[in-house]
Amino acid sequence: MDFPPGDFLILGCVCPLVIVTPEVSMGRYVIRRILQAIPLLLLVSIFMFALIHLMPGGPDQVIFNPHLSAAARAQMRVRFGLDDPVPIQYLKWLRNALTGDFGFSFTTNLPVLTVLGQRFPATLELFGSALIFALIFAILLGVVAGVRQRSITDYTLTTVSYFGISMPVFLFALFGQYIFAVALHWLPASGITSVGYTLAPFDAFVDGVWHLILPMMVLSILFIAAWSRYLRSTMIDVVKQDYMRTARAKGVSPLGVLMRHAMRNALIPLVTVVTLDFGSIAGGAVITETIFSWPGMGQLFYQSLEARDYPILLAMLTLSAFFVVAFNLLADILYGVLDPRIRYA
Amino acid sequence: MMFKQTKPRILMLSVSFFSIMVLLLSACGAVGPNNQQGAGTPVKGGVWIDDIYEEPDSLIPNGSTETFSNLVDNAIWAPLFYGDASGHITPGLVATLPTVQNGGISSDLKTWKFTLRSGLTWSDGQPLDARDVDFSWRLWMNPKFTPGSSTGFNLITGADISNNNLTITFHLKQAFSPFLSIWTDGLFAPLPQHVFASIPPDRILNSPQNLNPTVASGPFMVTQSKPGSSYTVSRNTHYYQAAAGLPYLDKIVFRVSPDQNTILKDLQSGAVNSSWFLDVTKTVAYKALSNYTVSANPHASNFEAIYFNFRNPILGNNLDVRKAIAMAIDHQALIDTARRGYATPLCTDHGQSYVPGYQANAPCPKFDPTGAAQLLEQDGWVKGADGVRSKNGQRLEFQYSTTANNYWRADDELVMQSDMSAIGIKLDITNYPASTFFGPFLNGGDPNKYNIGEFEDSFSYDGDDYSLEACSQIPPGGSNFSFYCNHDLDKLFQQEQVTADPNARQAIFNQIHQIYLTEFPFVTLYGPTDIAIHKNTAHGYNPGPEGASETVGVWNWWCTGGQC
Repeated sequence: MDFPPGDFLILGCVCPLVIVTPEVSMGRYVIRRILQAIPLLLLVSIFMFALIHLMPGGPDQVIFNPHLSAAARAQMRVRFGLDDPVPIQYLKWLRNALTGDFGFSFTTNLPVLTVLGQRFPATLELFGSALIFALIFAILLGVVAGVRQRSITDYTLTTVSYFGISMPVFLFALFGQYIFAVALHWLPASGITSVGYTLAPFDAFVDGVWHLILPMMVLSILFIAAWSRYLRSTMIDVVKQDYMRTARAKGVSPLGVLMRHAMRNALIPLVTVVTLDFGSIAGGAVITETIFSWPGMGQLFYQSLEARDYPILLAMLTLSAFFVVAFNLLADILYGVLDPRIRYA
Repeated sequence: MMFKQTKPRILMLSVSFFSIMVLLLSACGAVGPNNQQGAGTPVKGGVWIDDIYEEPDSLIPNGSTETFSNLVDNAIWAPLFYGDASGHITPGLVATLPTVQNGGISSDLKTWKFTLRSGLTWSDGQPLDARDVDFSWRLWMNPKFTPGSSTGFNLITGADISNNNLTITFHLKQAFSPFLSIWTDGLFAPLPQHVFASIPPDRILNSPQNLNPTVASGPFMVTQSKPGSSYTVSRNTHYYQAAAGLPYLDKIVFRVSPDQNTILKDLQSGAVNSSWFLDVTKTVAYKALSNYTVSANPHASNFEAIYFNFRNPILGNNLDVRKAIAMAIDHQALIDTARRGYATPLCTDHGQSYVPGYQANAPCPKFDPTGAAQLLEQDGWVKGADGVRSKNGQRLEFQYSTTANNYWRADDELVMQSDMSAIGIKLDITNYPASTFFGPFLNGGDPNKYNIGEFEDSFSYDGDDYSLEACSQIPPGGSNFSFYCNHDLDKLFQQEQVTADPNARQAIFNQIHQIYLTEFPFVTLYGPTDIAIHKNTAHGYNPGPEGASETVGVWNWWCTGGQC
């Protein structure tokens, strides 16, 4: 039941009390969400900054080196901006961050953005390929389980999914390394490329894919398990709809009904879930990247946490928050684009 | 709605095909024992892959004091002096080792003359001479540069360069016996003036040169720098030993692998030639690798010790308590259990590689829990109902801390806890991440948190241990984490620093040890040996006890048939 835009309507006591707010265009909705995101990100940055400075020792103790002279230590404090009061440090950091300057890494002395720029492509490669791989298999398994509800196939896939959700990622990683790298010598145990020699472009591509297979498969397991369960539920709901029976009655083949009607409707919510999961890319896959020595954002986060490299941590946490907010908005927009029944308010 | 089910026959065929493929492909991956063709004559060629446990944070000499920075530095920078596998200092860029006898060192140890070899060049062909050495120490002493260490360099009042630019004479404001050691290994190699003079000192460590130096002087030079992934160094044809055919290898790839389990998997899959600083708890797995050899340098220079925080009123004011703790420690159990045998008995701060320094007949406390208990009883520490001793309302219960996520230290702590429990002392274990432990925890010296701390320490190539317990080294001035001040000890430190004669210096070190073993500001548990591993087809691999450690003698690495 659609209500004309701009009208308020209060139904009678026969129905539950419903108040309908006026509809807005997608553009206005996006602008409103962006305006809401700004104070949210600001609050997150303040919280992160305060948290990092509250951690034991704080930044000053991290760069403390007893072999440094007093003059050198003073110089380091100035170089890293630690000689100002904390609120001033935050305001300076915010001002610089808005221009893309997140300072210098405590450990490597490189600009933070340079360090992040070096690591992000590796995470994008791993995360992106894992999501695509997971999406393909999740759709396959979810659809099969959904249309064959309560069959042996469904129960088998359900069991495997729960196993995938329950088992920790590091266990899959270690098993994968042992089976495919140590026992079978099919795949490398770690690293992003073979080292020590220069390959022709095509060979380098193949080498990269060869190194990608194992960490990608490990990372995708959790996604496949979770998404296939989600898709199974939506498929079960969709196949029971009247329009599905109508389409079949009109003579559309079972495969056609599945592809043109069932899947298209069942996938809409999944697109939202996938978009939200992709938003966590900025943080990387800490465990997977560390175990496979994959030089991405996740490994960087782990190393920076161990080394208390605060500029890196602050930048990564801020970027993660930004990505989460941005991809949340994207998910909402996509949902509205894909499902014309959705109205923004 | 009905959908056709997959025919079981197709499923069976698929499974059968997959199984056959598994069987076929598994045969391709089989690895047999290495065909060793004899380790006789070094052969030129090969790409050596080495897993390193931590990432270097700077590849500029004295840009960092991190162990793995030193390790890679030693491959790309030629220092004035090298340390060898026995921990002895040998000439590098200098023509001869300066001594008092040959006039290279003045008798008052305040004037040091280094004469470089002639004809030295950087990897870009520019001349390498004393002017680069002069530039380097001045840069390191520039507070805007923020060096990893200024110890020793801060005593230089000036330097003279000879007309032929081959000799540099340093003048020190006071005698300093360890002056050679501060110039040893790649971490303290001279920098190219023609590259770094044009970069503002406060920008050098922020520049791309920090992790990708474009000019080198060592056996290799950086040809690919991928932070977080790997650092590839290739043969430097301008290396001063190139005429002798060194280095043998074409390249070395230092691959960053910050997880010990991953390093083990790399070894098990045969993907790497070597790795160092391995996890001692995985020794059985390393030894099971038939195509690798596990090694440990017998000239251990490190020492693992527990340090008493003298700010704690019980530990600081009760010598008998500290002595009883020292007597109750079962050192052999620690070596056998925690270190799996990879440690040497030691009760001072000088391992075997320190000459002078090491004292074979040091009066080490004997393992005597009965005697320790009697000592406490005589001192009035009475056991309570819970087995913990107390006196005048003070309990012998202490926080015992070390770095977290270290399995063999965790074993150490359990053995220590048991040993102390036997004599009525309770140890409450609280560990911290390394950055916190070596940061605010030890440096803060809060007696409510830090009572007893355990960690490993070592000196450079010289046994000068002033930094360990000198009064001026109490934080924030240094790393005297016992917060212990003994002016007699300070006088001995000053004496050993200004003494050139090794025998005389050894006598002073013995006196220092005597104070350590009677006052017990710390108790040495053992001398841990670092474990390394290398492929059986990899040769010349001989990690040293200190300094650059793994890459000591890196120019001598070679592979069977020139194939790594």
